[in-house]
Amino acid sequence: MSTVVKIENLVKRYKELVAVDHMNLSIGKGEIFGLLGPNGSGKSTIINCLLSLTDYDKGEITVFGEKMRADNYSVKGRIGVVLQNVAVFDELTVYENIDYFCSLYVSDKEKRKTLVQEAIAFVGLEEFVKFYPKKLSGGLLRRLNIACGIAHKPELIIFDEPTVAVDPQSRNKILEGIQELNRQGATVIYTSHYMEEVEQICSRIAIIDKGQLVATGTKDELKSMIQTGETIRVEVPELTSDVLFGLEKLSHVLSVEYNDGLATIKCNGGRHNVLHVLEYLNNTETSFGRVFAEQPTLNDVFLEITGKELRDEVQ
Amino acid sequence: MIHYVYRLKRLLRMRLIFFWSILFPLILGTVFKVAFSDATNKDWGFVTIPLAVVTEEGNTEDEMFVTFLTEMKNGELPFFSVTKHERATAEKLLDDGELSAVIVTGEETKVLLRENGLNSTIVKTVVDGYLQSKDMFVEAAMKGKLPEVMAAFSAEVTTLSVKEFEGATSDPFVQYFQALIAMASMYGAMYGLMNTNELNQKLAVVSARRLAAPMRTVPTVLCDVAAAFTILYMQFVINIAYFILVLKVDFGSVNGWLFLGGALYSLLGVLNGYFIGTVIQRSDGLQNAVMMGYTMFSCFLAGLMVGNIRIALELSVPIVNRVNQATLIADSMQALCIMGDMEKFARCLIGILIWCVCLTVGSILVIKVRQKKTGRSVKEA
Repeated sequence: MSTVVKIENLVKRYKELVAVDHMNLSIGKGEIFGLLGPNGSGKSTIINCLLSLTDYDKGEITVFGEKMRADNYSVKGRIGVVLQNVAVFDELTVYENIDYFCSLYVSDKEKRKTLVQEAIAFVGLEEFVKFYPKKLSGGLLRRLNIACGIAHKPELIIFDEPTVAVDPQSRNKILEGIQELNRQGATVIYTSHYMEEVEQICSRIAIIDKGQLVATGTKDELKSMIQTGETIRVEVPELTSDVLFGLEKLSHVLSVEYNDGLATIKCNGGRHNVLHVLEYLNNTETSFGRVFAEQPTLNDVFLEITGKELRDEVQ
Repeated sequence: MIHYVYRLKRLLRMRLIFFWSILFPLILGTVFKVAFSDATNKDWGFVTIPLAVVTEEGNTEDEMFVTFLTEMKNGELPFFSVTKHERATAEKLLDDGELSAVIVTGEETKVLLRENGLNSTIVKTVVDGYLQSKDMFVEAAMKGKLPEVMAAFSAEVTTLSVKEFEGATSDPFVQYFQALIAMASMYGAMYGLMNTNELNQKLAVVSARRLAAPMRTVPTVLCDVAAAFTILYMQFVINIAYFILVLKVDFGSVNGWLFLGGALYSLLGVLNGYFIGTVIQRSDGLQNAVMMGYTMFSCFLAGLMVGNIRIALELSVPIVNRVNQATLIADSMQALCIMGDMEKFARCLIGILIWCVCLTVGSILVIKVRQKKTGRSVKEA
């Protein structure tokens, strides 16, 4: 797999604040690469550096094998950007907006016309081509935002938190669209603080915190880096200290917490953990209600590595 | 080209900017016309200037001078209504506004004026002319040719006075409309500001998308300028047409040169915005405040609010009239349409052109420096 983006030793400071701290990343062709981290972790700064929208203090960024600079137009022409904020002109219609932004990449009028039509069809805005952005709902606006970024059929597409403040239905459409673009051959960089989205679509993930690369790999690789495996939650009205102690002693059990009638049992791998837990509760004549079992999430990875919740940070 | 077309479309669809740059000058012009309608209906042709001649004690009256003043005529109308008074009485009448000037003759001839303006200029021109050419007048009188010499001198004074200041036109309020055109042109800075802000990530979301694209800055900026210029020039033509054809403002002799001037006025407005936008990067509020403040102050100095300010500046600090953008615009229109003074018109346009060059060079330098800074990858080894 050839490398599309290579970031080496990138450092970006804002006065005393180190926004990106010696970052190293390598993104291969055909990947959907996720940049996951809480707000302020440095994701957007990395993207801005990558696009030469901001200068940086140290390091080197290579895209398609060429050093990325603000005036490297040939490389820029192969990149598409979908920003967090909807970046369209209020005075232009849906069609005109897509056509205008496509014209920044494609000068041939006929070719552009085809590309614009395809982009409109891709995001499903056929019925709204003559609408002005102010007349569109939030979800439709997001779709327009995406169409403006992908109409020229870029080989590398950067999505910077494209689903912020988007309803679940539109969010799913956007995620499906990104996967489709990837299937069509585009390499995707996807930044988000929503771990579910990143887990859902990304083939490889970099977890970032305070400008530093915390971990990188596929979701399975990341999960295998931590001790925590399955988490089992059991509704138990009453749990004696003996039973609690006994649960902790079961094989593969890492820890047991009991709060407000809910026992949370964290395991580190092993098989049939739920069965073993329930057998033990039965054997000790402990009554229990509903049982939930979860595989480790990226939040668990983040929690175990950084000592804090990803979810807490993003709120 | 497509960039120009879309920019033009966008500008035409921006209602707020459309209002301020096109409708507002038309509305203000209409208000001016209504406000001045009563005044302009009066006969604003030349009016005889009341003045007194005072002969200081110990001196004999200069009869020749009094005759000279009395005989000066603007067409059929005498230039001056001459009376003789004691100095104290004359000064009181001057203070009371009964007289426009008092001429004190004696060892030295002094002219006391009530205020600066056209009348004062005429009085000073005539007195200076007489004192410089007294011998010529005496000789003409002796030869019986005084009436011919006086007629020639009267014509010269009339021409000089009209050329010196605008008040002698048939519509004394045309200067307000000229200043209004200047203001409308300078409000074109709004377009320039908008253009720069769309290349500034701190102020416009779309700028990031544009800057991430393989968009060459100079052609893009040129398209932006061209579109803004087109709108502003269109606005200039609409304003002129409305003032002349609808409001019937006497702009004097309007010809093709005015439209060349209009092109430069429009360009100046847009480039002002570019310069402000490139220098002030952090806040669009501050940008607008500076732009509005500068435009209004420049127009104030050009006589938009106080009619005689240009004359006062011309007499006290003439350099202000040479460099103030709105004055250059208004002066060029006045020189071309009213005075028919192509030299002054060209001088004003050159002044505007110099401004345009300075603003362009300044803006490009700032953009290039910032672009280089953004493109730099490594600050330290």
